Amino acid sequence: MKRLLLFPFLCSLALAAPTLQSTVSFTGHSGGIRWGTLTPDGQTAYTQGGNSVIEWDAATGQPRRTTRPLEGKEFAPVREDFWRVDAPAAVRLLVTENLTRQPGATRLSLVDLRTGKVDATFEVGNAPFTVVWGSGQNAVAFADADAGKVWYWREGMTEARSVPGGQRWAFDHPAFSPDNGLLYTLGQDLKAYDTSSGELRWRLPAGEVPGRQGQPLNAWQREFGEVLLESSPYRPRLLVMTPDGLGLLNPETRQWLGYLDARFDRVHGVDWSADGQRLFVMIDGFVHVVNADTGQTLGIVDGEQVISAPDADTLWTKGPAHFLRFRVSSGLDTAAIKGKAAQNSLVAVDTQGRPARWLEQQDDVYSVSTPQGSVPLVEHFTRMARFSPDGTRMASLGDNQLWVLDTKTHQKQLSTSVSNAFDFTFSPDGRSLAVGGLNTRLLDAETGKLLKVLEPAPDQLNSGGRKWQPGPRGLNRSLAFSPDGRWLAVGYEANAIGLWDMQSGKLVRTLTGGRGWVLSLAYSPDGKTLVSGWGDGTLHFHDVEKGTDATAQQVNSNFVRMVAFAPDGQQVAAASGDGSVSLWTPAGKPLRRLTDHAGAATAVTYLGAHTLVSGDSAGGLRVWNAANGQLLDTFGGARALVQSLVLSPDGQSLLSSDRDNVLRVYEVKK
Amino acid sequence: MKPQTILTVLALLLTPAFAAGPPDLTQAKLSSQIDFPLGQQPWPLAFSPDGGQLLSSDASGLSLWDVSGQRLLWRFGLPAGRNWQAQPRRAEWHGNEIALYAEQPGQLFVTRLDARTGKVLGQEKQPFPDLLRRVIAPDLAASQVQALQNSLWQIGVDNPPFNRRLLATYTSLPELKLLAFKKPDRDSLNQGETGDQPVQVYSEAAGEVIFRFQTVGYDSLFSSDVSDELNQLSFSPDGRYLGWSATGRVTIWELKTGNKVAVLRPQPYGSSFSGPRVNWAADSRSVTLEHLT
Repeated sequence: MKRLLLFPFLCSLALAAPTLQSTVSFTGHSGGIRWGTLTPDGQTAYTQGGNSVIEWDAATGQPRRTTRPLEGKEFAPVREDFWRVDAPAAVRLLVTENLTRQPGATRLSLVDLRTGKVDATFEVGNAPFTVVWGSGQNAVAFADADAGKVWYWREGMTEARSVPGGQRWAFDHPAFSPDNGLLYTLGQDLKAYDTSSGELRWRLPAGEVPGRQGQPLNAWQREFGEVLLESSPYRPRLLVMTPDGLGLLNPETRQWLGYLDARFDRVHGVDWSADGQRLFVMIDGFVHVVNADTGQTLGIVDGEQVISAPDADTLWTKGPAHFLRFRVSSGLDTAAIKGKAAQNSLVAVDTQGRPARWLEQQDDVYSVSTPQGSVPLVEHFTRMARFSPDGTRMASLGDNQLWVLDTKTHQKQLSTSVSNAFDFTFSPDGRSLAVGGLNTRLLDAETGKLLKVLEPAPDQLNSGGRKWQPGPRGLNRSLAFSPDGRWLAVGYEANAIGLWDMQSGKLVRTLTGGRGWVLSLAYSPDGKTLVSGWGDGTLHFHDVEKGTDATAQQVNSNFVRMVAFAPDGQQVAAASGDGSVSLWTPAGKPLRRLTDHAGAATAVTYLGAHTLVSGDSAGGLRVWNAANGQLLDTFGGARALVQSLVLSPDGQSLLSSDRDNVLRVYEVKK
Repeated sequence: MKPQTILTVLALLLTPAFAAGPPDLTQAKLSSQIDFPLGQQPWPLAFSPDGGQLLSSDASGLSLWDVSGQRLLWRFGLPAGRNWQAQPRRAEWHGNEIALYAEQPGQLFVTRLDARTGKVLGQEKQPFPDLLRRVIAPDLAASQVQALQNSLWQIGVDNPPFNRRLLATYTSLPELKLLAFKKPDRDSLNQGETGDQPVQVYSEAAGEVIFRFQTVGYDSLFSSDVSDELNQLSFSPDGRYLGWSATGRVTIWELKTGNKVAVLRPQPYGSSFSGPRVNWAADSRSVTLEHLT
């Protein structure tokens, strides 16, 4: 009796909780960079992704700071179409918590990029439609189609306000006066509200506006026609789409100035020259330069966007792959600078109006470019981490790069591009790396050079003609080398595991049985058993030596996120979505179920033959006695999902990759 | 189905105007429009040099139209139940003669017609010159290359869903032994950037490319199989100018100086994959642009 009581006590003495030894924090957005811009002076870049905004030094490409404006909640920039600049002065960004952009009620927040603070929030019914910014982005307005409102906010207001604004299919379009003092809305009538008091200042019915032939207009808008209201930020000028085409109004005097001589029925964007004399109408790659007093077309050039207008006859525009300088009068391009600014990013110009610095986007990598060259904005958000077999290096897999760091100094030794990768592993000899993705790539672990791409032959894909079949297709979600390095097991999205012969580089066998993604794989130390954890909550124990049918065990109804073998090969642990850590014999017999985690158990590894550690989605770590299932200790405090746990080869340290973008190294005391 | 119409836009390009300043494009306006009845699929072949007449072809014959009077001048019909062996896709006016070009892979059928009556004066078959391959795709064997009227293709390639791949669009001016061509900026095998492939002019006399004109707009040649989109380049009859017509714009370079002298944008209110079709007047001083809508 005494012995039985004492045994767990001794065990806990023998293995105290690991203590935090060091951390490696990365700068990055979970899910990579979703949006980015440069400030007009070209000195600062802002990027957004996941739940954060990062401010960068645009000259060096170094991050300055990270802010989380929505207190850790994920958000996305509001994006209405491809042509709009979301942050035209790189000062504020309107963001939504509705990441999938489903129509309906949601909350929008106005984020100040400079401070990372939220200036205002909007509880909207179905919005935003036609977001417009006041001068200097110091005011914003948009229509809420379901609520029949036009929301607005301007600097100095403590909360957002709204004015009545039409209905579902005929919502009003807003615009601001140059000083943001007036909010214009175009619906049945053209109205002007005082933005400080919210009072209606004036109303202009369509009947008071002369049409092209002199007769009064019947309505402001043609039925089912394009609606457009644009205000010059420099002078009292409004550009309005009427049934008779685009016309110009002086809103101060309410004097109708006339119609544009070109008959547009739709446009992609409107911009104004800083002297207020000209306006630029963008449509399908053409830029029409128009006199802002008379509506007369002064010239037509090419471009998707106006970059600068240094003088009356010169225009820099953004072309498909160049910045182009045009003479407006002749329509001829007179200079070109190769460059492709990222969608929605500003282009900083020099004193002569030439593009000087801009943000480029290639795949998921953003860089600050100049005519001379470019500097990448290097970011990394860890998804999982592993030690190299000799323990001298640790590698972290990010959204678009795999980084290999020195274990002691944390210096980056190698970074290599990856995409759609959720798992990687070192080969047992440490010479190569296998990285998942839409295929599995073998890389040289020293240089990152691509050695081989593991792609099944077309006849092995087993896509099954008309009937869906499991097969080695889709995301290569999980990877495991056999201990002798002879085999690489790859877990696929399409409910199958492929066994690759590393000598021939060929897919030799496909194992099926579960339903769902293969989320985790582990070989027994003797290489005879392969255990797989599946997205349907099952564990499969494959005898890969004999090749007999696998033993399958339903662990829970969620998923099995990670499996691990005890170093002596006598036990298997599985961390599951229901929060349990279950223990099994290598043959698939259930041993124990450990339940103490909050949320889902996301990671598990053995610290010794009889001790294991597991992590959960709340950031908690638990140490268990694997022999009797006793909870030995609770530690951690990452407060962020534990994405992976691995023990160093010498057994001295435990590496965890956490969802707050930090690698934590814990010292394991024997 | 709406009746098909041919929209013609006249842009005057007067040489002295280049020296003095840009051509006044605000004067370019719609000169005429011909509506065709439902069910006919007319294919505009060419305007007469003065712009007054338009030759069109359809499934069963050729028609010559008086553009200003909108009147049919003559029609050359195929016998009932017969189709074109090779439907003409291009025509040229040579005085009172019209040369019709119809293509079959590797071969060009040239038919000469009397412009006043539509009577056939003669017909000949021409093989495409091997010069095209030697200049544009010297690495490929003659058997791997197929020439069509305005385009050169590599055949027998695995380029799903096609088994051929566009090498270049081209035009030639036999009188001056000039060949102009443009390779696609990008296709399924070559992911280039807009403007990577310049418009090149090869002179047979010099034996080399004498001009490389940088382009800055989309070339719409990505996997294009539409002959309207492939008909991009045109020399003025005197060889002084070269026109490149793509995505709604016609860029005109002067070959003597290598300067870009004009960019014509006849329909700057919407996007189009093909450029307007360019017809040079016999005096090389004006062009007629056509848009099929």
